[in-house]
Amino acid sequence: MNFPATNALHVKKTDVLVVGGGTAGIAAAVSAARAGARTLLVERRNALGGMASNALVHTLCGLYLLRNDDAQPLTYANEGFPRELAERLIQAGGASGPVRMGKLDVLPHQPAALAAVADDITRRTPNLTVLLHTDLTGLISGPGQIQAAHLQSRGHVFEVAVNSLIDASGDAEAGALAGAAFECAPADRLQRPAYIFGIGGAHETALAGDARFRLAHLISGAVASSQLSAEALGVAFRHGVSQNEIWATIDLQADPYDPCSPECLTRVEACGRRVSFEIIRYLRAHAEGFEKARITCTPAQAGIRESRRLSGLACLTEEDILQGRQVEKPAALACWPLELRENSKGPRFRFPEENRPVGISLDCLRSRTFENLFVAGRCISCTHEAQASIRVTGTCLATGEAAGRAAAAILR
Amino acid sequence: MAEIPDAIAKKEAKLLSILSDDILELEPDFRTTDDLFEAGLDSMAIMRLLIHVETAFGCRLPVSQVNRENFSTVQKIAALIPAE
Repeated sequence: MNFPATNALHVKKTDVLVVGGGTAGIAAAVSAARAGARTLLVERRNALGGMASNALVHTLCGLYLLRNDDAQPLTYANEGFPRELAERLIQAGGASGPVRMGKLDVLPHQPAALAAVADDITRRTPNLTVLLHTDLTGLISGPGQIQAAHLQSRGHVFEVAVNSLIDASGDAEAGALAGAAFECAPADRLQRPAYIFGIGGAHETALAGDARFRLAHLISGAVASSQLSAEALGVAFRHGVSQNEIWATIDLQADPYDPCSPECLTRVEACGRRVSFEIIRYLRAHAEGFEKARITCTPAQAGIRESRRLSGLACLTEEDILQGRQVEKPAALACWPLELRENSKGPRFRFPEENRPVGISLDCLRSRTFENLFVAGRCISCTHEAQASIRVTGTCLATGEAAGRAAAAILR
Repeated sequence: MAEIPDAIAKKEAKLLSILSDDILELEPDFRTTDDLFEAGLDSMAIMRLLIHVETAFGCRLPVSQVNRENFSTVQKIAALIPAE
């Protein structure tokens, strides 16, 4: 086979390869590099940040410990990189808060600002190379060890030898390509996807007072009279960091749903785009305050909540989370409740006893198939139910940091 | 003429079953006077509820009646629906 562009890539060997530049991958790569490992982070899209930038998720969840009431002080669940990124975002004007939403504290942020802050942090990190527009196409492995990765970009194929690999793809892609054990919930139980788009030009009072209820009335009437597609019933509106910015999130049922199938993903993306433009056209014509509204951005990809989960040396369960179980030397703490979105009924929350955080063992971040394969983010080793808690950004950052350190440590 | 208590109870029961079957994950002991927003009702859920109410009761509630106070309990929503 001819690899005409192999020489175009300077990196031939790396201590740690991180696959996927979402929040878990950023945390993993920066932490591994800071621990002294030569680290390569590859991301197939044009920006770091994953769901929190490319899918336009605009609130960082799971950064702060749960509080019984507003009087309790706000505490980061995980000091270290999750806190560092949140504070950098706030300093850069890319996040404002935290704000309390019901029983939860979240940090609203601008998706594009998160990508820019991630660019800056990674650029300033010694030992770290970031390659955007680069995809993993295959892995070479021996007994219990991953040895090298095939990467491709724009028709070029590269082979990079690795000492360890962190799968931060969100879909356990590296694990799947290497033949590592993984699990996936049945299609009818997977957490449903969301399509998020930005709206500008609306009046700043467009969501004030009971406006959301009036919008609900308007949209339900339009769906009932077939002026809007039924998928519009999944839409919710929220202000962004600035009052002039509105985010619309459409929860899609997407049946038959398979988040690892390109046919399904193509259908989901096209449906999200179509319904977004239907909604904005309808609001411009009929909703008070939306007369001059327009779509300011659509996502680079739909928001995927759940797909494959890598099978690890240990498996975090629903009971662990609901009982706030502790482990000796936890790699990370997860504090978000189970947020189940298995159907279009909207979220169903289940809170842990006494709002206690759960300790995630490092064994949940280690593949049971390959000794040098780690996992971080929403596809760590856990049950389908537990994944409904650990998928949020704060926890992804924390498992990323822990996986990065652990992957760097096996060099010594 | 005031609605008879039986008719009110029937309407509330029908509404509660719509809510628990198709809109929200309600606990089995959820009562018609319990707070629906505490149970997860939001504007997206209200959209779907309005469509179900229209199908089940044959009436469309006017926009002026759709607000936080009127939708806080099953009992209050049922009171907005005209007698059959």
